[in-house]
Amino acid sequence: MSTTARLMTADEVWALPEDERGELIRGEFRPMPPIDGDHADSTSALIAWLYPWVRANAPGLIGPEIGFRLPGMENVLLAPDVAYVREDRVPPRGQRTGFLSLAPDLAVEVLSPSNTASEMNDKVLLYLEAGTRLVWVVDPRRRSVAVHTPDRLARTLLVGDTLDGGDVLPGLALLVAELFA
Amino acid sequence: MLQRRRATLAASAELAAGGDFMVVQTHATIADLLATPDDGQRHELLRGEIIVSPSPGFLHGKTQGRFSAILTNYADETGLGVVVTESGFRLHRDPDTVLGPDVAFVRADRVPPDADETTYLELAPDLVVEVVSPSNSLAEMHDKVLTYLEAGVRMVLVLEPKRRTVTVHTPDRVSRTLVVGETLDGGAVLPGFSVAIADLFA
Repeated sequence: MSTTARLMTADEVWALPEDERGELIRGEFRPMPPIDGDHADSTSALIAWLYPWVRANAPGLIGPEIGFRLPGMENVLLAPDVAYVREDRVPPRGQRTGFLSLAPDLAVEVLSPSNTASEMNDKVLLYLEAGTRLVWVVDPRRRSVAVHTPDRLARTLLVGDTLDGGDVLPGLALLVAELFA
Repeated sequence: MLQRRRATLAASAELAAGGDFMVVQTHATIADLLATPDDGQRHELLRGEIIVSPSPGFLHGKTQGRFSAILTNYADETGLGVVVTESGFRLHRDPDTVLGPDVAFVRADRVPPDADETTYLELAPDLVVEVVSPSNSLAEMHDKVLTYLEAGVRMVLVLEPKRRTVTVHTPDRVSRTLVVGETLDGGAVLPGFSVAIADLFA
């Protein structure tokens, strides 16, 4: 929970070299440190599984660490580990430069040991308040996925349960165990 | 032992800097936990690992104290149970798990009459309240919540003083986050208990 000497704007973050960028929460800059193997494993497994599914069933933008300026919020810039935005909400391919000024339809955060409860709960609420319809918080150590929805309910799925896409990715069914195989 | 004390001190420095809970001993049993000298920090045993948490900061203590007072009033008025702060509960044997939640409520008829200061009750409290500190990682907090629910705790409340939210966890693994403007209801665990979220953080 480090606080920088002064608050920044999203434009100032964009002006930084790509490898020095980070997230902004109410103007507070949060660098994005390199991730560990467990974290990378979960992120890769999820993208590998979701990418072909999305292409076939729910066209849209899906990828890691896309920068989102959350609408209706002063200097909140978040880059979820994985995000999905429906095709009709993003500019056409080739014109997707800069941060997207919208809330992703799905945001996925994979927990690192350094993620504090305060920071992560705050992020989940920011996504939901900005209009994100589904937030998954993946915990590689406990092998669980917490599914958060805009009614501020969260359902924790364990190995043995099946993750579905709700109304964001209707028809999606992914065994939680596959994420941690 | 000396080495373990050093590990503990190093752990506090790291926690103060915002790290994870620190594991200071693995393959530990309840005997090891009881043999841990009192250094003002909280020691707990999670699946055979001794974990240490530093003394909480001001806002944590204020929130914990306030909730404990409100709950104690309720318990006194209704006679339904006993409220404790940071008492250890033995939740699992082999590997041993002993956790000391910030606040816990145990129904009156479940408290053994001979429980004293040398006792860790070997039962799951009916209600557990944890206040989030800046040093708590979400992974560790998730783990504790699931451990409580698996042990039979009927309701776990996670209070977040900075955001002024209360997340209510129940054994169906569905949680609900309440914000200022809403009311926390005790449900079947604390019948008749009701408090405005704003009042918890006043």
